Amino acid sequence: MNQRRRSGAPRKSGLGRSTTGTVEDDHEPSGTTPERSDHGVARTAPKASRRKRRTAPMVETEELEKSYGDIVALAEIDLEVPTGEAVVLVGHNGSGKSTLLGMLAGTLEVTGGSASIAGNPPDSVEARRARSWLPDNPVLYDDLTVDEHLSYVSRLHGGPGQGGRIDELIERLGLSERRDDLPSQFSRGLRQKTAIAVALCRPFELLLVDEPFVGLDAQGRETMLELLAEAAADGATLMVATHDPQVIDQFDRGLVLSNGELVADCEASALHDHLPSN
Amino acid sequence: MGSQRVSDPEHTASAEPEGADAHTPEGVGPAGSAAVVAEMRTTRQRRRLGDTQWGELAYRVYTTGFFVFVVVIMVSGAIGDRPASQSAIERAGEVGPAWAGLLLAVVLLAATRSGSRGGPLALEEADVSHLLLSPADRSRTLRRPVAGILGYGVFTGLVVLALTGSLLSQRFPGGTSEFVWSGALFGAVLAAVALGAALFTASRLVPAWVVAGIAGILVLWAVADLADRAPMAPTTFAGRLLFWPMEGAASGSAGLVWVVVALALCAMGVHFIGGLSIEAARRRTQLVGQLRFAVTQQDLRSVVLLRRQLASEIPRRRRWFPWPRSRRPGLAVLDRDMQSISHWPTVRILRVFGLALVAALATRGVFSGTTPLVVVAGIAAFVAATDATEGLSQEVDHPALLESYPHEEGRIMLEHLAAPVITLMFMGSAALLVVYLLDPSAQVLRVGAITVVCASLTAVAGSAVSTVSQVDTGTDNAMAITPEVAGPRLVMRTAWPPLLATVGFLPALLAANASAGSDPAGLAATAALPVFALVGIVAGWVRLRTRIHQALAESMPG
Repeated sequence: MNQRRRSGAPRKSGLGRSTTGTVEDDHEPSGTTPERSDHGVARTAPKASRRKRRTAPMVETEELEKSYGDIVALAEIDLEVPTGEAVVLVGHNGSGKSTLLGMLAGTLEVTGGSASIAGNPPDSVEARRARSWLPDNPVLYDDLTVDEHLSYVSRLHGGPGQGGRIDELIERLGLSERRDDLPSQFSRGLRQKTAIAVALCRPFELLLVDEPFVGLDAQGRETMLELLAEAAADGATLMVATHDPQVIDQFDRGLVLSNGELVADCEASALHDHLPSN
Repeated sequence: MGSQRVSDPEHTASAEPEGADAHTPEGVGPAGSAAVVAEMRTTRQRRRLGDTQWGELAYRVYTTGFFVFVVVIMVSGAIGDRPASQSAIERAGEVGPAWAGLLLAVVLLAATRSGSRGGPLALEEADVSHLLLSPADRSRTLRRPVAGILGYGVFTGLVVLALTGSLLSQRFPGGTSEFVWSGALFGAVLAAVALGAALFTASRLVPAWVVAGIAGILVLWAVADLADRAPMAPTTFAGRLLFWPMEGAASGSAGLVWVVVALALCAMGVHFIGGLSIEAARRRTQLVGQLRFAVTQQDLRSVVLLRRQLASEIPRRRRWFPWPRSRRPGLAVLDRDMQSISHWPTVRILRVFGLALVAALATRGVFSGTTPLVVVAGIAAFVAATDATEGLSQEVDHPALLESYPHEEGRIMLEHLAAPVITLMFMGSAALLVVYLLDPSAQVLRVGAITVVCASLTAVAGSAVSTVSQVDTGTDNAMAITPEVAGPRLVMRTAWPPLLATVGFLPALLAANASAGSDPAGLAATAALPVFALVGIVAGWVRLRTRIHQALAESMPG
């Protein structure tokens, strides 16, 4: 494995802030009552606790491995993603992107090494609370409307289940006319938009996304990018797997996977040299 | 595409308060989560009920009820066999509980195996994604589906074994109602132990190999008990429940301990199920969905194939036996199939042998006078053959490949049947040997040998009919079929293959009814002749099916 990097080294990113985990540029009066965003989610925290949280990496893996019998799908991945970093994963089909995300999402068992989300095992309640997972294939109930999906998922994660964020997502994703319809009657693109809304309607600290642009029209793709940007601006950590070379410049950091190995870990803008076509 | 960076704060600076931190998830208490899950399920249930086609449902209930009624009448008539002799009654009292106990142990072992792969739960994919990946308490979330599967399983076990009890009461003294009740109790215990153990294994509280190891020891102990090589196995006590009413049999009260064991396993399974593997649950959601569809289509071949995928069966790297490649092109298909069989995973070998053993034991029962067991033997042989004809199935699943060969597809498909016949004859012979060891009798061996040959041929023929019927001959549109013909045709397509497999047990059936002084093996050999003729017809149909269809299509007007 070449160019593997053990941790996120200090660097300047498009965020305009260091991604090493310091919060010195944040001006938050300590000891204040946490504000609430229009999502109904606590958005601020006492400075001391925020510093502590940001110091710890949001995602950390140590010799993380996934194998199926003799077949190694992911080999000894060492990775550290600081809180607030936007990471893009690229690689050819079968390179291990989805496997890595799946293990972090808690949908795949770790067969070797370890992984943690905000210091907790991926399958823990704490990790489930912190993480939102948008898989490549929309998974929705056939017998719940768009509105009901968002309402129940939001409430399951401690959200209000109505108004504010949900209405906003429905409107921005162009689902206003279809909010009372069943996704089972939708096209692939509309199902993808519904899945995006479901993943974003709830509070999260880490957003894991696998191929978010598949099936989306130009407007949907634009909205998806905006939503990702907003989540990053809110301080969420992003890990997005994509085959789309046009979006990778939007991220801070890029990881290139090949045959289950992490072969490059660099600035996202430098990823073009590592794309499979090259 | 947007020009802003995903991580550019300026883009959203106006929308978000300064100094805004990450979305900080707040917790929702277990009671709150449970209330949301319950409300969601109620909404879904209400919508499903609203979408239900009640007329269609009533028709289904009617047809199913009618079918069950007919089966019960037929079975009741068939069961009216002669009462068992005194020696048979004594023998059943001695070994019956051990056999029932062995059944419990084997089911327990299978259940732990299923549990190690996330069974017996088959959740919806959306439930796994949205409920199990949420912070909601998983054990609490899963309580309802677990209760559902436990209720259904225990009820099914209860009904099936109650019917078995009724069957036993026809041949053994003890009273029908008593046998029905004891059978129901044994069935409920059997199902509860199996499901509880599976749930407990799925919970991963204890490593799966430990639970499977205990179940394996119980199987070995039960076998040793059956062969009088060990003290009474714990499972034999459970088996006594089934034979409780029988005069001369030991009391079944000790078996009541298994009621406690069953309840404890179920309670632990329900309590700890939150620890189940999400990966296994997701895998099951996808395959079980396909499996259910295949079942609704009465597509047994797909059911067997998907069940293999569900069980994560992977071919062995090392071969069980060497199979040299022949230089004769005519043997290429046989070589390919035998190569495939030489890589079978252990579990598939055990399954096919297990099915062969079930067929052999059922045949022994037929030979002793329990005629209805021929159905069990036929179905077991058919399922084993479906497993063995994988080479043919693969050809059918890849029609483009089949068409690419420089040979007529009928010839290729026929050549695919040789390896399964060899395999089933081998497995059948091994099963016959086990039956002979349990009941050394020259007649059993002679009649059994003839039956093994016939049953292997007809089982493979049945499986071939089931598989080859799915090959599109390109004439389906030309051959207009009226609805009056389509219905019976569908029934025949579903029922004919297992029926064909059952015909192979005709030699044992005739031998069982041999009159005093006549040679049962001679009668069996006589019965083998029409069986061979039938197999020959099926082979011809497989070989010439496409030509027959084309000829029929051409003869149709227009």
